[in-house]
Amino acid sequence: MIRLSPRAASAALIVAGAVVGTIADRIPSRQAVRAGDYWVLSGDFHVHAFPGDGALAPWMLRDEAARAGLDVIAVTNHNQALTGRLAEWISASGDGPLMLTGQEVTNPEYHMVAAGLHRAVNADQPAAGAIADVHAQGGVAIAAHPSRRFRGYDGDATVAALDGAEAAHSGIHFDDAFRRDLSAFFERARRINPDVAAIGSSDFHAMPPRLGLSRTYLFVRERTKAGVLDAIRDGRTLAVDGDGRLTGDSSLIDLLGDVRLAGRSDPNRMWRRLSIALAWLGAAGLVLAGSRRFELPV
Amino acid sequence: MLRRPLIVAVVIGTAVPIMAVQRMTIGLFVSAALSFLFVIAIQIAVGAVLIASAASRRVHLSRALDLWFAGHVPYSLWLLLAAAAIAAMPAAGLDGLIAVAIIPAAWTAVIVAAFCRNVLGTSRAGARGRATAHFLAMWGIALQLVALSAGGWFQVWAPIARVLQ
Repeated sequence: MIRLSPRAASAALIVAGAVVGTIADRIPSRQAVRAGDYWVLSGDFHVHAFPGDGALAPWMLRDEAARAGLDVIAVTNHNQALTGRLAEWISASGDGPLMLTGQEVTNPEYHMVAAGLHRAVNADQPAAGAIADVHAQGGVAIAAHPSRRFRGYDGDATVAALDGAEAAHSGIHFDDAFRRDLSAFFERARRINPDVAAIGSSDFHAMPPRLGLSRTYLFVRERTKAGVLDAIRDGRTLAVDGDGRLTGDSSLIDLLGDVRLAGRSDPNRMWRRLSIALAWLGAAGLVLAGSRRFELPV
Repeated sequence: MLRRPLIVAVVIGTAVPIMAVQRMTIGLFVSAALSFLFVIAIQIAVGAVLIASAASRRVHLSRALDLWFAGHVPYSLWLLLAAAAIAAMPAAGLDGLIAVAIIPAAWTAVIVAAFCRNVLGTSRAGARGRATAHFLAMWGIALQLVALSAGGWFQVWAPIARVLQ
């Protein structure tokens, strides 16, 4: 009979959990979806990653995006584009969802998602200036969670310059006032600029709400970075919230008809849960087995 | 002797994927453990300064550093409990988890003070002073990192101001 010390048993549980989880991990293949003359892609343009205030490094984020049924994400850390550039570089060298360089331009008066960047945008300026800088790089500027506490979008000229606005965000599922704020801002933006893109974003950081809970359907001519950015510039998008509600141009909703893109899949849920339980028990055991009073060598 | 720091890395490698994506794979485990090694490096640096400040310590630096990480047990348990809570109830709010973080913070201070008395051989007053300095240093570094990654100090103050209002 094999005897294991508590520490070895704990380590074995962690290894078992990781192995079971790896074997059970199935990343689904994406089916191309067409509507009219367009490919329809699923995107999340407000995602945080490590290094930064996100938990997942870009190479792990790419797999998670695929599990979430996303075709494209933008890595948008606060006031830096380094992580996004790393993500785009990784994305270029393999299969899987497209990852774009982005930044959450973070100013006390506004937050703005910028996607399709080459370098970071100076956040220490009014929103109109930041939008101009984003456009100068060929990127798109999206008002991020534009609730009433942000005053940076009060000017109509600033709103007119935006390419998109978050009309769906993970936070709307937990805060009705926030939902109303986003809805009111989007309606205002559409009155000022009828082509403004409806964007759905998760604002994923390190824990639920999950990546892609709210997302954007994009009607693209080509399944490339340029095709994605063009769709946002032209307003060929629909925002989708976690309940599947669509916001955006009614003609696009009609074009989509009953077609819905596959969302997050979890084919081996039981094995996934078992793997978590095994690894968690192992880690807890390791902590408890390793905690002793201070022993001084005599 | 860095057995305990390794345990902390394993805890982080386990808890972070569970919290972030409610999944555990070899890739996620290794990636999370390596990504957050900087947390352990910071704790080693702060611990080394604290240990070096006590000329009367009774053990070698490497042994002292290993024992130093016994003080991570409260935060390790909190991290694992938080991961379990999030895995079980992904839609639940985080306010409760953040509120109970006061327990590991206080518990850690007690352990650091005990470490200073028993391992470093300091007086009670010296132990209290070092525990306070450690608390301030770790929270100062943590808040600085949050501010850096969140876009500025206003991102740290704004939620506090909203709560106070």
